[in-house]
Amino acid sequence: MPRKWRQSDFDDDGYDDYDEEDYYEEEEYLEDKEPTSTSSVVPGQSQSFTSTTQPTATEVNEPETEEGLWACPVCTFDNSLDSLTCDICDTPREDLSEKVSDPSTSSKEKAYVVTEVQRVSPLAKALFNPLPGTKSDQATASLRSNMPVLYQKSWGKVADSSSFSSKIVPFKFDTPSPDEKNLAARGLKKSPIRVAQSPDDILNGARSSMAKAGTSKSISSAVSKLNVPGLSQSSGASTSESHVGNGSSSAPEGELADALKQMNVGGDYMESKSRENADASTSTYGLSLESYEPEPWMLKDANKDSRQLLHLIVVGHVDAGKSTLMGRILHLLGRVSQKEMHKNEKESKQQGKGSFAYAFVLDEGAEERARGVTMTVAVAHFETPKLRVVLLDAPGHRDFVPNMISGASQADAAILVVDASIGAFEAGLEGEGQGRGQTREHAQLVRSLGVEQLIVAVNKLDAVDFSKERFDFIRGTLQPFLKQCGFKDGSLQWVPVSASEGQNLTMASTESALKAWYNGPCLIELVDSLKPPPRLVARPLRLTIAEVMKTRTLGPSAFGGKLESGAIHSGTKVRVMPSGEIATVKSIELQGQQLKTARAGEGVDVGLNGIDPGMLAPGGVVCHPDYPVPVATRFEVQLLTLDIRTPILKGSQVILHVHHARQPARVDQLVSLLDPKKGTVLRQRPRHLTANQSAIVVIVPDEGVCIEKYSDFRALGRIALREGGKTIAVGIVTDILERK
Amino acid sequence: MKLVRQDITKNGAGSVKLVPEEPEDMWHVYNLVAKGDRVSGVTVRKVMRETASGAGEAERVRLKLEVEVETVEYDKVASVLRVRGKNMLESEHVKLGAYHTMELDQQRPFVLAKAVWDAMAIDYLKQACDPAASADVAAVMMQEGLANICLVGASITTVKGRVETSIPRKHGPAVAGYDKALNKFFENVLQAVLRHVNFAVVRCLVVASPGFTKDQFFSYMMLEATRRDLRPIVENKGKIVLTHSSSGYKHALKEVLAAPAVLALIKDTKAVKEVKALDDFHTMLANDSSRAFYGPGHVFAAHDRLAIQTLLITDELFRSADITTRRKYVDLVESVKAGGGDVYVFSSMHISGEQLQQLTGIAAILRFPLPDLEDMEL
Ligand SMILES: Nc1nc2c(ncn2[C@@H]2O[C@H](COP(=O)(O)OP(=O)(O)OP(=O)(O)O)[C@@H](O)[C@H]2O)c(=O)[nH]1
Ligand SMILES: [Mg+2]
Repeated sequence: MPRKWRQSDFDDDGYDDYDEEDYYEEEEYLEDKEPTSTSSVVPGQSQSFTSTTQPTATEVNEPETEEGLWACPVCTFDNSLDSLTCDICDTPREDLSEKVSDPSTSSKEKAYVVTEVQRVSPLAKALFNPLPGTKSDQATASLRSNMPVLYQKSWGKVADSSSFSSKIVPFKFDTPSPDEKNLAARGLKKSPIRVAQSPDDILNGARSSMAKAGTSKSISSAVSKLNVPGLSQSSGASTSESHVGNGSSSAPEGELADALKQMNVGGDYMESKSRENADASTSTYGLSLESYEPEPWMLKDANKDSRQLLHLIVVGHVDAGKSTLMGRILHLLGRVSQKEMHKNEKESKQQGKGSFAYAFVLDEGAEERARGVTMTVAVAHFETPKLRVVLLDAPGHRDFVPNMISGASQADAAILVVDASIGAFEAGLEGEGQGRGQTREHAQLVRSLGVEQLIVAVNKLDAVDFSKERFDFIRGTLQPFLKQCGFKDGSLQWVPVSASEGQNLTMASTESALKAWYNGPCLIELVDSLKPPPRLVARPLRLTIAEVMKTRTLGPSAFGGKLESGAIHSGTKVRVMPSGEIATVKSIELQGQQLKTARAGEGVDVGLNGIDPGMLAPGGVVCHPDYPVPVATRFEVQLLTLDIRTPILKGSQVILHVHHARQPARVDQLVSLLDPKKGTVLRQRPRHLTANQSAIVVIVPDEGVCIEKYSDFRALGRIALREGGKTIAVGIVTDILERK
Repeated sequence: MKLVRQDITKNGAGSVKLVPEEPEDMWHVYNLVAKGDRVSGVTVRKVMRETASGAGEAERVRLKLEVEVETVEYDKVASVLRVRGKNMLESEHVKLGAYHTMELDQQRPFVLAKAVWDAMAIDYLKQACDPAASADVAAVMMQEGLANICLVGASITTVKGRVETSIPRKHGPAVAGYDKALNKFFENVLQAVLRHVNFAVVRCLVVASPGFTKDQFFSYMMLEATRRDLRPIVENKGKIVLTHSSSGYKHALKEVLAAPAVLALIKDTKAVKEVKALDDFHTMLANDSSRAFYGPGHVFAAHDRLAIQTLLITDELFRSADITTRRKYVDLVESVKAGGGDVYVFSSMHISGEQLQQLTGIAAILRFPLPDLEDMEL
């Protein structure tokens, strides 16, 4: 080859100061691929060496969401696959998938749950499913009464078909736990627990729910089309596949396959099941939740306390008076001693912040007091006639929204405090200049993090002379917005208060200007009327870590958190995720009091033995050793974007919030854009997402994060995405694509 | 980087002799050296000599080699470049055509010869050898319990240190531990600053956080600096800037680089211009999506209609192993410039470059809307 350019012209002068030892050595680099005995390297021999110049980008096969329909079990309307609730009657489709994936809801005895018919914004409908409704209107109620019949009938049919299988484990229903009975007695719709014994059971469940949905046609093809990794290898699954084929066929199979996929039949249970089958050696790790049987101590005396536990978060724009309001209530309820109150008054005066005396009850930090701003979530406790309330006082300042999110993820209900004074209410809703107000952001967040019951406390009414007009104006402005967020009329309550004047807090107002037009319940009465959700006591332990600490009594490896399911008692072994380390529960404390046992719903401090404190971090989850929470490294979510200015693109950097976990993450793929009203796919692979859109996207967190599919475990399946100090989207986890 | 000698013509063959002087220069060399180029320099190779007993003995030999580049590997941590290819210079120890890996490092001269020096390569060389272009900003990105110490150079952003301390709550039984933990956290951050921030090199030290963490840390740092007589801090107090950021994570740097207080000091740097350009692109996409496109398909289609106002492209695309692909992008850049458009070549080692890389590495803001392009799958 002719040289096109000049021979290099090196002269030695430039190299004098080289240190020979620094030189790079060829053979080390080639990792022994080349024989060192020759002075020349044969080209072919080293060909296998390729240098990697940059991290290889992961190639992704984009899961395609095909269009299809699902039939509503109640009104039989054919809904788009992407709507989670029926467009006609609001019945959640997701409820169906729970029949399949959640053993606790697949029982014959279960009263079918129908959601209230409400004119909620379709946006909200697309994303959120309400709890088992507390009220329902006449029409739905009558439809509902038909449900169990339909359900049982078709279930029976499918159950028969299982006799075709050679190896069948029949359905086994556990007797309802005392806990369930209790709940049932109180009129809370919580089904008894079924403990499945084999994959057949799961598929039975799947079949029954499909039958119920009125789509038990061409099931075999649907099942075989199911896109479940490992399902086909699983012996249990293939057996069941053969006997599912009994259904007659007429429906287009694509539809069903989609419906199944949407219903999450495959899900994690199947995956872990088949993994278990395939690899018997991994005996004690990652068992299917189906095989879980609660231990007797977990359920014993579970409800001996007559008062139910309720986690109540107080949210709202900065300086709305949240801390003052709650400090005042705690004081009125006798939770703050006179001495303490004097101390607060003195200190607040000294700091030139006399008006913050009551806020100091909750704002204990030096920095918080000096600035008059709540920074972290303060926890306090009080009781009402029916409830034991765990009060979470959230910070309102926009910089501390991440802390508020941690708090809200534990909450069962919320009080939204709005400042009624002129200008302040408006600022909270619209925000000054750049950032949106936190009245808006907080309301959207608490709803998307699972809070359904909301009390709106219109505060500082003293500043507007207890004007009814102002109260009505605020209510009229907020109500449509809150509905749009997904709050239902029936679970929204409004109360005019004044924290600094102590009006309408623990007893009816004494202020004549207010009495003149308001004689409804006071704030604490409204709190007492809130309904705690059913607790998942009989499921495997999930205890989220909110914060890590060291105390004299709990030792060096201690943390505070909330039991989302199951129970612990001192001496039990637990697995700490995401590290996977095993530890032993040393002691449990509730408000500084030693406890023997703590169950789902409780917020406790726990000391562990046999683990390095470094293994504990907020966002971790303490689990039953055999049923660890998935640690996802890539997952799919259904998102609802908020009022964003910067579009969300493939590759966008965000901060992911799930329960107490927060970490940087990347939007890896925009899978599809959904119609926010109908939930149908509008466009595959959209170029970008803008404000108020609904979409399916794939998220890749920087590190593995403890999450669950929403349909498997709601509390760990809700996410919020933030960027640049703003919440840009909220959503639910629809699939875990890769895990550690 | 020092340019010792140059003998090049645009779009012609030629060679340059370069001496990398600082870590960032290795990144520049990485962007300059392409497959098919020839790199020559002094290197070391282990050879076997036969001893009297007949057994082989390894010996290190220093020799001059010239390789025709096949692969280039950039080691960010060690800041060295490994160039591998066939030897083109017959020597006593290395046959012609034998494979060799040459390591390029700071302070070691080498000669780079290309068959064609295109406009991009010449521009890049000029920029890499311009001492004025290098200006560093150090940033401590904080949130309570987490700090990232970042150095933003002309073309590279590096996270020099990360401090993570678990801080207990300010309420309840652990309240006593709070102040202690916070002080320990601040002390660790201060140590990291002293270790990684060279005030002789950086234009400023930015301390950024949400809330009051930055103010608390600043008071801690100044107090300790006076108490312990930490000269670098005391003497450079004027170079320290406090600004708001939404988090302590690295990607919040873009907020810092857009903050007025910081901008005033470094507005001419590449990193700042990149942040601004990407921001403009996002804004356009949100406001009028028919005037903002990304991906080679859409961007080239827009260019065919002479619609490109601003072209955003990462250096990574020019590093393509395939000559024709590189040619394609170089021509695009030239042609957009010729048409009066702006071109920003993003460093993929900056945060905005990382982002652009995620978006296929190429994007454009258009002069006029092209709505029909939006519906095209390209
Ligand atoms: N006039 C009047 N002022 C009130 C009332 N409630 C609270 N304030 C005042 O509002 C200010 C802020 O009160 P905080 O309780 O700290 O507000 P916050 O919502 O907890 O604030 P953050 O936690 O920082 O978001 C204090 O000066 C209170 O005295 C009220 O009912 N009327
Ligand atoms: Mg407060």
